[in-house]
Amino acid sequence: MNILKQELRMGRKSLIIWCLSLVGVLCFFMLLYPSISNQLEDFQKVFKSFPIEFQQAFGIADLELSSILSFYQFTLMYVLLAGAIQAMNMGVAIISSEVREKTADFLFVKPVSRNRVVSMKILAVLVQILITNAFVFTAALIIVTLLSTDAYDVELFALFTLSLLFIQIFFASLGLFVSVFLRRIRTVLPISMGVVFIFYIIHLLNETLKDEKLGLISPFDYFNLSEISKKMNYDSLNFLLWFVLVGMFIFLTFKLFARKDLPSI
Amino acid sequence: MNVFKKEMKANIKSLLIWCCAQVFIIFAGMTKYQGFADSQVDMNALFAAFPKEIMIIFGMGSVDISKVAGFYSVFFLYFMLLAAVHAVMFGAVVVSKEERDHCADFIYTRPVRRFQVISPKLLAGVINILIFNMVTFGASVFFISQHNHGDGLVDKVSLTMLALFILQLFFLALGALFGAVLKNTKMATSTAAGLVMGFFILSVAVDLYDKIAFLKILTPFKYFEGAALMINDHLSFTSAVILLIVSFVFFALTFVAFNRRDLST
Repeated sequence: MNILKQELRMGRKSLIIWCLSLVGVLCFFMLLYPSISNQLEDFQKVFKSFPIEFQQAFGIADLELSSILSFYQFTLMYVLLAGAIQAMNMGVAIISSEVREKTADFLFVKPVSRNRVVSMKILAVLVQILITNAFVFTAALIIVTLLSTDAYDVELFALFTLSLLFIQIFFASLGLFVSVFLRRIRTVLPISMGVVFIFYIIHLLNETLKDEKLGLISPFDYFNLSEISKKMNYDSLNFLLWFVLVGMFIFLTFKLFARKDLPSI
Repeated sequence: MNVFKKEMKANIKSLLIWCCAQVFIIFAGMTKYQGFADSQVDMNALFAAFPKEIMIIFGMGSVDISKVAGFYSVFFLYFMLLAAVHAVMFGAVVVSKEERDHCADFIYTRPVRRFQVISPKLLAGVINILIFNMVTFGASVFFISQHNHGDGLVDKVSLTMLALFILQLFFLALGALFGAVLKNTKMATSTAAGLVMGFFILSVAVDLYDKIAFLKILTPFKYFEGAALMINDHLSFTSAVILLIVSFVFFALTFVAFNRRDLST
């Protein structure tokens, strides 16, 4: 319990900064919405005049551009990107920082098992992710409600926004795994930023290419927002894959860390 | 010379990983191109009907992606993002790492001036980004020539890589400046990461809403356009000069700031 409290106290400042910047990104884009919503409605009319085959080919057959959620979907992508970096950062840092800051010989000689330390640390990451999500969800709900002129689909909104939670959990567990897998981590951010951006670019690439195999690589594609809006649910295969991968990363974190050689001073 | 060698050796592994990721992205992208070229009949006509804002929301530019040059020009954004993350992190870490690893008392008590330590470090940075650039160039020409009847479009790709290199240089200088000015590696990398994200989000917003187009000058991601480079063979001279001057100023400031720095031991 002490470990959990200590971790939360140490992460408080960066958690506040992250929450504020995620909401900042969200507000920045959403505030552009009123000024371009008229344009979007015009596009909607243009699209409807296209032949139906064409609409289907481009996936715009049942696109509701005039709805605020289509713009929210676009905005959320950048929140997901930033949120993924935050989560991966926490995952990589939380265990490796003990070795880096030479506190490992203090913590790991206490009468608690390594597994217990790791579970407390994972719990701390989870709590911080949940706080972030609660904050972003509330802020997004307020912004979208304020800006929308007519009613919108709350369920779809919830599905969209919850994908942040799943993506953050994925990247946090990946980060944990990476941090115990590598022998020593000197700087956290280059690793997390690099990994997240590579996955993000694979996702961007796949937006154009629509390749199924490529879609299995990037976690951003597991929760593809345009797919979600079409099906009104998460893709079950991708969700299963997400679940298996997260489980595997967490399991390996415990397994590898229990046997890891910790350098002391 | 010793510092240079040491620095190259320390970074060879991460450089290798970055290059592999880059080659994979080019490979994955170009492999799918064939399908695109065969199936899409007249992309130009289709895209002409599309409003610009929609193309941005769908993550595509207004270029003819059924031609190999147009298709490849879409990649420029991805290259910029990855190269920016790589270069800025390299710069921020390379300048500030000695203090973090508690090696500052060792290296800065040698009978060499401070700038004699920093310059080989920065040179190693330039060589690293150059290798990254060359790998991108080689992979691009190779995969393009496979899908373009053996013609690798060497002129166009080398122009694109020149633009990319100028951007990399800018981000390296930016990172180095943060490394020299800010308190420690963690601060330097976080600030640099925040700024890269900010630049990226601004570049998207500028595309979306034309009334804020004057903000274009603030984000380096808008200094070069992939389409202009690949299709019109046009490298914006003013952009290149501005970026080079700014990088030069940043490098100079790095030296000044580092000379006055109070090294923590």
